Amino acid sequence: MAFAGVSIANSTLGVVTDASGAYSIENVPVGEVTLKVASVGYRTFTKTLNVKANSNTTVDAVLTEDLLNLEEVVVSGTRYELDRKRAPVVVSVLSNRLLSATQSLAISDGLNYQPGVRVETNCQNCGFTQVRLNGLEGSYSQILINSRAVFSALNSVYGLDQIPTNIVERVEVVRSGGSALYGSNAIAGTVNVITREPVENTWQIGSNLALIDGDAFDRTVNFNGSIVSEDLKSGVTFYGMSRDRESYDANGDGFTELVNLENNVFGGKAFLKPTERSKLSIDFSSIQEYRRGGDRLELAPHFTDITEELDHNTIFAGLNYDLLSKSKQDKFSFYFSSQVTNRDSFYGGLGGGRTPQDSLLALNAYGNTDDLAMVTGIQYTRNMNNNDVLTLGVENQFNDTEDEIAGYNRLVDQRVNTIGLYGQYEWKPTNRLTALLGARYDATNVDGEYRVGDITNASDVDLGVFSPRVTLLYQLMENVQFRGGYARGFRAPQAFNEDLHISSVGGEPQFVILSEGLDKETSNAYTASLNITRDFGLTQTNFLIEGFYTQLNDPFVQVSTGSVLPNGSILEEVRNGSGASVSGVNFEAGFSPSSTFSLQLGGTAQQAVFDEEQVLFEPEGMTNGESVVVVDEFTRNPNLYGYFNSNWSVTDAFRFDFTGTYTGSMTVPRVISESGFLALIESDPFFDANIKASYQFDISEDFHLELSGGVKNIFNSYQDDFDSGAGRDSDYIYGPAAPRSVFVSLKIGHFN
Amino acid sequence: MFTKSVIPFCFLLAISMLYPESNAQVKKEVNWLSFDQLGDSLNARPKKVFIDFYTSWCIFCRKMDRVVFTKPEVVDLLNKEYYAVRMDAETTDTIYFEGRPFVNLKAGKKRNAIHQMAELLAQRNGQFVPPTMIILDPEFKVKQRYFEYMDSKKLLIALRK
Repeated sequence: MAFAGVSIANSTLGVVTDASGAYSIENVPVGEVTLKVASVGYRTFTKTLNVKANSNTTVDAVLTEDLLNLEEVVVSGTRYELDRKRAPVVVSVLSNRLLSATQSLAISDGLNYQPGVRVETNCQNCGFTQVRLNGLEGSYSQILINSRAVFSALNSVYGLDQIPTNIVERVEVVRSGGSALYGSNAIAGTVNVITREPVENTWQIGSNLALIDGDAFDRTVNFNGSIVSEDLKSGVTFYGMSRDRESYDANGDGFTELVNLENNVFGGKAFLKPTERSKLSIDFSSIQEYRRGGDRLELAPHFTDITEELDHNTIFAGLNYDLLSKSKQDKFSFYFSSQVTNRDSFYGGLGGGRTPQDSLLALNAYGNTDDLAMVTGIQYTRNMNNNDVLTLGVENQFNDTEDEIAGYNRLVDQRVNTIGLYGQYEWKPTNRLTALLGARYDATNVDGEYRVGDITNASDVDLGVFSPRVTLLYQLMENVQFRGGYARGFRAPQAFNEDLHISSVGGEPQFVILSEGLDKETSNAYTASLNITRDFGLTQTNFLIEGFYTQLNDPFVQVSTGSVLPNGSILEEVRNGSGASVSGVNFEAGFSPSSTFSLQLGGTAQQAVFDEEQVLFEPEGMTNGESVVVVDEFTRNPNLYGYFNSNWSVTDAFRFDFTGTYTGSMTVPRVISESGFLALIESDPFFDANIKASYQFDISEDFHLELSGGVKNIFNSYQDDFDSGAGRDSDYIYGPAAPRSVFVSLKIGHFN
Repeated sequence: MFTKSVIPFCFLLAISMLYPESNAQVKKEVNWLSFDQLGDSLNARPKKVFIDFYTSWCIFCRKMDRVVFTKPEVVDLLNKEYYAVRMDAETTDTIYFEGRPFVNLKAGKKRNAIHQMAELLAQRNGQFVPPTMIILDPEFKVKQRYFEYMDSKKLLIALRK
């Protein structure tokens, strides 16, 4: 047979038969070898031979035609829109491509496009956002940058707005704490931001101009570039972004709904491979962000009724060293990452009053925050001869936060240190079954002092918690996979994002304080999922359905105490609430009939309920007929939400994206009196859809230009019942992040 | 006056820095052949053969194009001692080699459809992962196959073997 491929299995030896069908292979290793003869349309012929030194062996092969089933070529999966993961944990991947399709400038804009993930805005005065996974608040998830937990309690307040999307290669979301490698506080899951790993020398400069509701401009300039040596042994990538978004007032009351945002980010990441088996990488980034909301932004904050003003100065730095053994079976990783933030804040104002006392209080609302986070760790991975993988590691996480506003006698002074020991074994007993068996032990120390006015609480806790985690993958059929998992987790009693944020109600600041004797919160999470991937010729389809059940014991709940401090401030207390459970179904479906069109949609149907009725407001004494407010479901959490994204490449150069999210109705608490008394409002559902068209001009091989434009939130699906005036509840904000906005963007550079 | 002339000058300078090739002398390039041309060449004058299989989406292939196959030592060696052949492994063209047609059987049936020629020559354990480079002797027998990115140092060693 002419031009058939003849090869020796597990070697690089091989030839192609000549026109007469003859072949010969030289220098075949001595011993037992397998000879393979293959040609398209025929079944592969194999024969095991015993090769002796200095001898010639003749093998005649007769190939039989493979009429029914062409032996499929499996191509490296990197380019497929629909990825087939062999990992026992369901990892959802948000690509840079999707962040671009949704015209996301910061990570907070694009995360909604994954099942079970929802980003919500929590404050009209400062634009505080948090990401909810499976309905659980931001404090239940861990945000990782390149798999490192450098996001501190403070970073989790505004940090999602501060990471520009042009540094992101992809974002990996794991719902439910599936792997023992992640921290125990990753009860709802992890959001892992993976930055670019460059290969080519590239650069690009881009600019985006958006007009929000015909009123407020949002301007961005960004750049990134990379240089990698020819031998790929060293390289650097660098990036920067400058953004200026004007404030936006939706209801014309003179108070912002979207804050003024001025953001400057730059950073870089360099790597060096001193030898074939080692790699050193260093990264740093600097974030300077100014944000201000409230009224009369042109005045000094203390002359306004309400102002929240924050000036962040953050530096991230990290170092990573990987070393492989000679056999490449053992890998050691050493890493250190740190984050330092200094922030000036103003949370306050005259609050509608004009008395000398109001002025004095306003003048004293300036504060300062220092935050330091450090992560140090060693990890060892061994690839066994039977393809099992053993991972062992130890990691220390340290976070020191000091947040002080002298005028309110407000102080959060907290040090949290966690030493985590973990081990995980990836066990592949059969071709069909893979199990991840793991456990971690975390020794956490919290030393915190929390003060507001004349109330001082402290947390001095030493905890040792063991958390086993098991997940397994069973290959039911070649393209049908079942996964299941159990994970235990806990949260130490400590101040986290929302506890460090101050909102305003009735013209007065509202503080959150940790209650005395707050105990740890624990969780048990179960997941099971089914994933079907099928190709019908050019058509690719993918379907995932995942059930989840997370049980929370003694969850931290913010309860409005009805107590008002002498200066008029309202106090909320974090307490151990009623047990709760979060359960539901996530689904994800993808369809792509050809490489020019793809559609993906996903969503979540869930409920999040307290075992017993949970108090959200308890009046102090009898006041104006205000009674206890209780809920049996989580607030601010829709039972139904989802997304879709579709992409049509009309030509290689012209692309069209249509994307959107749906947010079902939910219960939103709204403070309606100065004591903090709450009304529970049922919100309307939202459908936030975006269109984008882009055209790429290839001016030369090394110079491209991309023009794009579109509309975000085309149907202007936006909250329509904002509170107004100086006395408004600034936390009463829900639904899509922004009203309808039009954008144009230009990108030039050497990219592909 | 001064600024008026300086600005376009700076602009030109910046452009010329971005494209050093454009104002340099004509660069030496590898004389890439197609398979169709290779058959004739081999019959006329036998020589060693170097085949590079790439795909449009393979960034390591692109990197090799830009920085490895442009190195003067690599260009000289390939042009002098080899017939250098390049092929997009996903091409849908029919290729004639030694009078026999080779086609892309999977085109239109599957994504990332690999051409028959690449299937025959460039697969390892039933998989094609670009970049794949093959060195053959003048009788068109495979000497060695490489399935990874090679910098000029590694490639020169392989070509000199």
